Amino acid sequence: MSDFIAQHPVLAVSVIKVVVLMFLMMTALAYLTWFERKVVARIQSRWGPYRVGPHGLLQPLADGIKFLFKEDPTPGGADKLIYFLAPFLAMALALSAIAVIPFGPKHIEILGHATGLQIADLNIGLLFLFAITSLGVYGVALAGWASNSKYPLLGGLRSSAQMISYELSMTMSVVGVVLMAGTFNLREIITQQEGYWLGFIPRWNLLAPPLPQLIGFFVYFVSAIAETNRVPFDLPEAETELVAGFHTEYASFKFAMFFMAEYANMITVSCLATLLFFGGWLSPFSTTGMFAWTLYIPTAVFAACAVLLFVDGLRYSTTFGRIVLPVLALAVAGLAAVCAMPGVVEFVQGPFWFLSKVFLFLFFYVWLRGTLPRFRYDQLMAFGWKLLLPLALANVVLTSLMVLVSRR
Amino acid sequence: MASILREVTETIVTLAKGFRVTFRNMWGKTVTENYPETPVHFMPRYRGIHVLQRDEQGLEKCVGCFLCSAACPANCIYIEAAENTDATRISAGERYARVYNIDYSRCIFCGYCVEACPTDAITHGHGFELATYDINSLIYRKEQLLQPELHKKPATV
Repeated sequence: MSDFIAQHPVLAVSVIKVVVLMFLMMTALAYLTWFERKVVARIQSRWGPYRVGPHGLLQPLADGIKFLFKEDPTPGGADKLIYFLAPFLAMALALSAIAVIPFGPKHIEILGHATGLQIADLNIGLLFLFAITSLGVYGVALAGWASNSKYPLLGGLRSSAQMISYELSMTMSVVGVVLMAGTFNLREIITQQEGYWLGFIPRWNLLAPPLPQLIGFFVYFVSAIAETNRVPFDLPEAETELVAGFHTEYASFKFAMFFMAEYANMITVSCLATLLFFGGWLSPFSTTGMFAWTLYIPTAVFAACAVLLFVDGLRYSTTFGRIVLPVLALAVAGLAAVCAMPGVVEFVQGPFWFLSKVFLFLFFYVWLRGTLPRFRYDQLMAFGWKLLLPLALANVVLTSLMVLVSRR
Repeated sequence: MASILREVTETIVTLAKGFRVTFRNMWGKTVTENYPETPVHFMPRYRGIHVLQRDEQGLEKCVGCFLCSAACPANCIYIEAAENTDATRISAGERYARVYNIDYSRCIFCGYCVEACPTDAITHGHGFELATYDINSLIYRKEQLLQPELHKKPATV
């Protein structure tokens, strides 16, 4: 075993990283569903899940177990192979996209090898991401086709049309960023966003010269929502018209896989928005001179969370909650203490800011779902082709002009 | 150009308004009842399980007139009336209901019986936990519906 590790260091290290990231990703997916249900519930003046565990924190686990034990019928006349393959395709593609996302600037030591917080540091990372995410439409379209049922077919049809249209404006919208960065490598795209205006305004691509990518970001984010089939662009699974759209005929864990794929796509797209327009792991605050205290923001945030959790836990209505929540609070407090340790302080900055920004995007996703109604189909197409695509094209032209002028 | 700009501005403003509403609602109170941990809050005129009222003397208000039974669209009220005598005076009127059954497997809680009652004897209470494993126990007898004698005040309506 140790010989094998010595001979194939990259493989061994990658396997460890993949396993850890898979675990984190699955947990994040599970709790993203919990988070979404909670936030949407609060928007609608409801409680959301609160029966399974304190504040419904064990709800994702209960859901997972439920899905595993459900009967899994195949509809008559379905194309069995494709019907079986489609959810795997959707899920595998959604998860593999996360492999090229860098979570922080620093390197860690695994088995004596320094390695970045990223599974694969590709120099065409951005292209890879777009290739993988656009393959995701196959999962949806094939699921709709293979189910041999009219609603899934309509859902699959809609999603192919929608995702292909929005793919275009999404890809065009990031061309501006690529022009400014001059690279497809996600790490380099982030590092060239370093620095501050006047010492405190971050030079992220959203605000950076030669042309702030405000239009690019707008087009990217709207297309990204459409690309992930989320409200208000969730026509492929419009439950009022198509029952559940492309996954109407799916049950049990196959359905769960579509569900997870959707949430994984949300995370990927939010990560990409953070990387391309919001400086990735870069802190929004300068850390030099009078701003040195901002290094301790992670600690402060975790400590505040711990205090809130502790106070809330002691007042919780069930005994189980009164035990679990304070224990959880202590764990978070421990995390806060670790984040304040010298050496660790610098290390946590990257992942902390990156994940915070991603979290904000995910919150916006959920908020959006609680706010806007679904588009009509023709509105969706008109919006994509008549507004977003011209805007993206204009952005490309303007950015290339500005880049050309500023390089002179 | 000006009209496009106006449209864009209006869109942004309306979007911002919508997002503001949902964001503020997020921090507002929830309206979900935490039943069964905390009791349910009913509106005063909620139509729950019926209560047969008594008057100030503790006598039953029901005079056995059958009007509620006649008004009932589900035909779920069964009454047998009997004469009051000076020795056994149950109600203030001439007659009283010896048997008063409501079949809650048929009752639709429409409230017609309450409207029909000339003596305000039958009213809707706030009881609602009717679920049972035995359908026969859904036929509530007079003893279950009647306001207990200790309470001289009429029940909350």
